[in-house]
Amino acid sequence: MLTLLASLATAADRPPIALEPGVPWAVPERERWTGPWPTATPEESGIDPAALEALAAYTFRRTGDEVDRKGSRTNALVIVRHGKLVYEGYGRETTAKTPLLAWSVTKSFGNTVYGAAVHEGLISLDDPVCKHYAPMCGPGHDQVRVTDMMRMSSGLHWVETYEASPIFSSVTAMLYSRGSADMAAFTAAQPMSHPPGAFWLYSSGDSNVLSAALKGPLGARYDDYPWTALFEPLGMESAVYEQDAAGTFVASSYLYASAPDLARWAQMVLDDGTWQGQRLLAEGWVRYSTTIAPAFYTTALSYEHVSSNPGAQWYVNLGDPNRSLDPPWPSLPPDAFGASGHWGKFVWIVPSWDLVVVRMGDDREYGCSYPGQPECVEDPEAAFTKHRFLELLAEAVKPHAPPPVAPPEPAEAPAEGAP
Amino acid sequence: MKPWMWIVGGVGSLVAFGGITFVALNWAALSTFPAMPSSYEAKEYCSCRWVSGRDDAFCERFVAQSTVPMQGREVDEVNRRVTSRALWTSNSARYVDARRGCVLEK
Repeated sequence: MLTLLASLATAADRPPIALEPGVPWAVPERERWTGPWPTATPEESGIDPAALEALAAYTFRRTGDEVDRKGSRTNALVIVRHGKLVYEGYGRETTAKTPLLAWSVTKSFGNTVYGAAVHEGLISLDDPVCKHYAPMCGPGHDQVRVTDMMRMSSGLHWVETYEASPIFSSVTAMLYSRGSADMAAFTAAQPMSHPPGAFWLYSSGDSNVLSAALKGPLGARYDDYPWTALFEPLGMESAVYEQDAAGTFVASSYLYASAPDLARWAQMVLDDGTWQGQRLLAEGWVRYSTTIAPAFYTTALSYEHVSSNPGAQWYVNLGDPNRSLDPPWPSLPPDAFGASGHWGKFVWIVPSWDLVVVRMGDDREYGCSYPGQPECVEDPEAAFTKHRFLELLAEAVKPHAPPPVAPPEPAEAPAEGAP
Repeated sequence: MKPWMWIVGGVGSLVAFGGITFVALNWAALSTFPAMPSSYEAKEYCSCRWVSGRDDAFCERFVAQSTVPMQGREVDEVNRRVTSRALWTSNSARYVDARRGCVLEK
């Protein structure tokens, strides 16, 4: 039955992705600079200094110790506004140069590696993954396009749990047992459980299949490509990007970079894929990546949907009014988007506030940020709570912010990809 | 045999059959589970030390977990290689280079 469904939804039936240049916000002209981040005071940046102090105090507040690992455990907080660094703070033996494990923020970085490869014309969102990666050429699998995996809608079976259920978790098997020798091949060997493009399912496996699929188009350039395409132009000297034993960059999990370096990368995305006047990502890539994955609208809601609106390996802040789903970050304007990772890693980009925020933590318990969140800490003062953090951020920035621009319209009909 | 013996025997057989079926159907997941704690610790300790540049005490607390008791860790500081043992299974990770950090050896 599933094979039948998959064969009905052939790649040819689904409309090609048209990358529409530009982003739904104005990208200001930036001063060119090299070396360390140019800085500005909160006052110069339109940020309330007292509210910024309250935000920093909340972020670096400790309630647990290093043995119980309870409470908020912040390694770094970096705030950039109008292209200038306004605040940086560090905790837990971290400095401005410490390469920090990004966990799933890496997925959003992997998205930008694709944005660079598409800019060079090396690969297309419409390509079947099979065109570049033979293990995805089986029956059913061969219908999965690059865009389906980019939007975590490949249809491949996957179980994304961590400590809660390690035995049956696909992601821990991929990282630490059956899949670790070749993470992409492990993922590609999963059966299809839905037609491609129709069902949204958070999958670290999809990110790594995409990473392996760049080996064909890049050839001998593969190992250097993240550096030549992004780390070097952005000046991200701290970056380390680990590979699995098959030599595939682990795009699901293993980017390491300092917080100020992650802010450079985020600033480039805010500026529509450009940096110091140079275009690094394809025209329209950022718009595509921050458009809700069409499969999100056709997938039954689970608690994960309440906390995240998936774009393409990025998360947006639109909710779904048709299903009474509120935006996941109510204190941020509707054009905010971001990346997030296990144990409290967050990169938020707020175009209408011209703002980039990087908070890198090592939280082993989470504050409650949405109804029905499992195993969370109720008291926002006792554990890092996204909502509390964003409320304090908004208090520091909002009184000085211009009114937010209208949210981007979904570029495609919600039913796209459905059988 | 008394009736209660039939009942106990019947229920026992069903439980045993169910257990064997469960293990057989999930063998791929169950048989590889013992590798996870040692692989996790070896890989994440390696990266903590030689990618993030933390010290041993910091990384010890970083990789600690309460699910499975660990049975030892060997750290080769010179070759930047770490071997961890848990559930009677050993796994190793090694530092590759400044760009590619650590990798689990397979």
